[in-house]
Amino acid sequence: MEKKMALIVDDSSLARMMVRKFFADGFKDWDLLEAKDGEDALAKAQGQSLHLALIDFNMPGMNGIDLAEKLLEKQPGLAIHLVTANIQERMQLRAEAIGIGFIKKPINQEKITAAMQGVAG
Amino acid sequence: MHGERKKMFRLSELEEDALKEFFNMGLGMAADSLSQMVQNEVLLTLPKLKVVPYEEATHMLMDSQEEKLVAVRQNFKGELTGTALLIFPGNESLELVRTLLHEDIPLEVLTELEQETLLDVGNVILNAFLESFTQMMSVEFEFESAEFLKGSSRFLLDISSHLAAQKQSLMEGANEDDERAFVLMMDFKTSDEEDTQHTLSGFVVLLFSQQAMYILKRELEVILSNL
Amino acid sequence: MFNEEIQKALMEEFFSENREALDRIEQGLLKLESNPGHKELINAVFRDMHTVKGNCRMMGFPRLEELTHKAETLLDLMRDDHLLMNQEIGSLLFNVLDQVRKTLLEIAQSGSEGNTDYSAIMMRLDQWVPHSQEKGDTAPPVPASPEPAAASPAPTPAAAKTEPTTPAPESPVTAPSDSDASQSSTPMESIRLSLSRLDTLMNQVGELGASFNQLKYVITQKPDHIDQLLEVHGKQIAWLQNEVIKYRLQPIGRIWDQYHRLVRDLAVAVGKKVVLDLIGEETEVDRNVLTSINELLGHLIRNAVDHGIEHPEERTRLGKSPIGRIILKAEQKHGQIFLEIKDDGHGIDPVLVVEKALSTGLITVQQAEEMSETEIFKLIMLPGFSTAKEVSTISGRGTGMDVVQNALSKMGGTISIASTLGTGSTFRMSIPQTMAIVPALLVHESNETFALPQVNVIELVSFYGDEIRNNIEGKMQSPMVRVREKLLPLIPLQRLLIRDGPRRAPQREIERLLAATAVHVAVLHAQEHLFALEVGAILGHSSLLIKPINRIFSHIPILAGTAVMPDGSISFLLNVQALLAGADELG
Repeated sequence: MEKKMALIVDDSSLARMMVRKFFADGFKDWDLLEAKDGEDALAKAQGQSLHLALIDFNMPGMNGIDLAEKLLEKQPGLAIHLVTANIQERMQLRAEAIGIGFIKKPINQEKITAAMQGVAG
Repeated sequence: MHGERKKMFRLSELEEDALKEFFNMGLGMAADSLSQMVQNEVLLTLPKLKVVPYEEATHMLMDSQEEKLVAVRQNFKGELTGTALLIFPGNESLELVRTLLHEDIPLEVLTELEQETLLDVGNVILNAFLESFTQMMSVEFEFESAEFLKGSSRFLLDISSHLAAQKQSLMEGANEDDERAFVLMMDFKTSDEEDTQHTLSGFVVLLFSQQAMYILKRELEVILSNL
Repeated sequence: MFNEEIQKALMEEFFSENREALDRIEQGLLKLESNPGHKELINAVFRDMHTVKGNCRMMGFPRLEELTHKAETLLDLMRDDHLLMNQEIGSLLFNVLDQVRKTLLEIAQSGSEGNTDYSAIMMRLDQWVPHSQEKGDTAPPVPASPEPAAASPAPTPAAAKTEPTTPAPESPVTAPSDSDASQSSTPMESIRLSLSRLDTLMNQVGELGASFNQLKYVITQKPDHIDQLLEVHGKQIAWLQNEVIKYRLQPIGRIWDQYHRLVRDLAVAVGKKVVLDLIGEETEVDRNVLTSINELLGHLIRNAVDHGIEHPEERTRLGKSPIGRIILKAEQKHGQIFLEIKDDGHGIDPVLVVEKALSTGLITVQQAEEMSETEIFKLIMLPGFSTAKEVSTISGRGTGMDVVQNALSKMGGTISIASTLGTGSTFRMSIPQTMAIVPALLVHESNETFALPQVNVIELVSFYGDEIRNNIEGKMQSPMVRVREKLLPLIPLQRLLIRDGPRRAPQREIERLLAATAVHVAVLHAQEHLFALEVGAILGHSSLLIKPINRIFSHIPILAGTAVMPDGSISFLLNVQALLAGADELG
């Protein structure tokens, strides 16, 4: 079976480690691409075919929604979820208007499973 | 002996990052509770986290703020023992209360409400910080009731006053030099009735007994090694 | 005794409690969307929905009660973990909120809950809530019974009759004055004033009182000092006017916040991806016009999402970003508010617009040939055009653009449209910043006094004797006047005032002007156009209190408002844009 690819963007290495662990435990048919901020993510996603992106909202530099917009330009059908502990209402609406989902921190297995339901293919 | 231990105690970059992430999650919950309390959107972010000896914490606060500070103090004891403080510049705390309550309140009345409101706010925020420990780690402790304080940074961070407040619970042999402080800068974002956004910076200071620090570090190591 | 007084108080309580509960439900639902399992949030939303339902039952609105009861049952399922919040449920519950708010407004206006059709929304609720769903009911859903209502837990009208309260009579409930207010949940009925501002106001009023007493004294004792005192008095009043006008100003961002929700709801509903950028939220606008601005901006945003922005797949195919962008901008310049709404959708096709206008008989072939692109785009604002069914596919705009035009005219505003096929459209509007007191030029014509907004006036010129023959001429059968070496269209106001009667032929109009001993013109600008308005006499400047136009006259486009004259009499404020448009129509 073809492996799927998820992009994880978070400036906290702990947060990335937690997600990595959940994937390693429960979703073995996925490859992970990790990035610590928006710039890093765009560089690493270059040329890759992604199925899912889990993005922190509060990051140094580009915020999660700005990054999501850029990713969608490159890959229009990509399923994207913002992973956040705390977000302003208007930001939430803004994200939903471009079809981005939300995951409330702390992340867990069920939340990742739910996010995967929007993945095409 | 204890000079040696003092040097030994240091959080790795990863451990600091992990703590910050825990605090952020806790803050998200605190912001939700606050937003519900005041029926107005409140956003809390944590731009800075530092672990420093308490002397340095005093200096940090003194450097960046004027003398008049207000604080909510909450002591906790159990497996982790220490003191948590939420600190604001005195004049700005009134502004915070004003935007939180979302009303044009005359200054006289506001001063009366200040203490009450800040106590509530402090309670929610400090508990969120402390609960992020209990949620992530297998440690347990109890909170004492919160107090409202006003004064200089030196007064607010005065170890002996905290020690006095929790004399019975502190381990014997605890010594001022062994205390460590987490100093966190926190931004409050609120909006007033005209929808103008306000940002106000405060500090959260967590003073831990030396022993608590080691427990904390040990717990962090366990969590990280499991990932 | 259960008299009207009590009934009225009850109704007031009913409205305010429901309003608060509905606002809280809205906030709660938004938070739930990102945090679906949050127990406390669900509980809070459930409690508030329960409150609203209870209120409706108590005041005897059985249909609303049934609707809110269904929503409550749905929330109850979520509370018991039988259902998890998702986008679909979220949208559905937001729909319920909108519907309840609408009906409450109707109750406030008419005293009755009307007979709006809830069946569609009820059906959608029923999809989530089985008919047999009631607490403790473990029986499986009954297979399609011919009368599903029988299984429904909602009370029948008969049950409602047993309630002690009678439905509200034509109760003297204070209804929102503006029927358009349903669009906005922002309360416009009262303002908050800081104590310091009130103090300043009090001081100034105190001084006014003092100078009035002085004036009384001077009038009887020292009549030669009157002028000086009157001047002081006048300044104080002008200061007060200015100060009070400021209280009416509100940052426009106050109504913009809800557009994020509007865009989100529409985008989710039609499966598009849209980003809304807001620029200039701090721009201050008269609170009087906030509701109207809200109405027209809401309409334009709705249109941009529905008809302007393409679906993500189509955008990708066209080489555009899958995310459409709408930019809403406000700025204040020279006492005008400039609003701009720009989208990067597929734009308006002028060829198709012309075809449509021709086929519906709105314009003639000859007119079409002479039209500039800007003029062509303006056709979509005409009532005849925008009610055409297939308009949305042709112009990239939905129906009802005349709503926008009307709202603007009411405010004395103007609009211009620019669009590039395939790239997007831009709507630019300008609106006077303050509506209450407008500096105006007073003119006289056909035995009436009229006011022209000072912002539209460039200069005043009077021609006498030979000057008339030297500067006024007929071009293409239309009178023109030369002002500062520029030839401008000359529009006689009296011609525009004739609504139904016979008008002079254009040639006769030119003859009349040339034969006159004096011709008075005001050079005016409407958006980018300059023209000269010929009036009987120019009276002078005045600051006028402008009120909305009386309903009887509201169909006359050249009238923008009613002005209270210095002597207390009433005259009309003219809409300069409409004057120009009116002249075009007359030819």
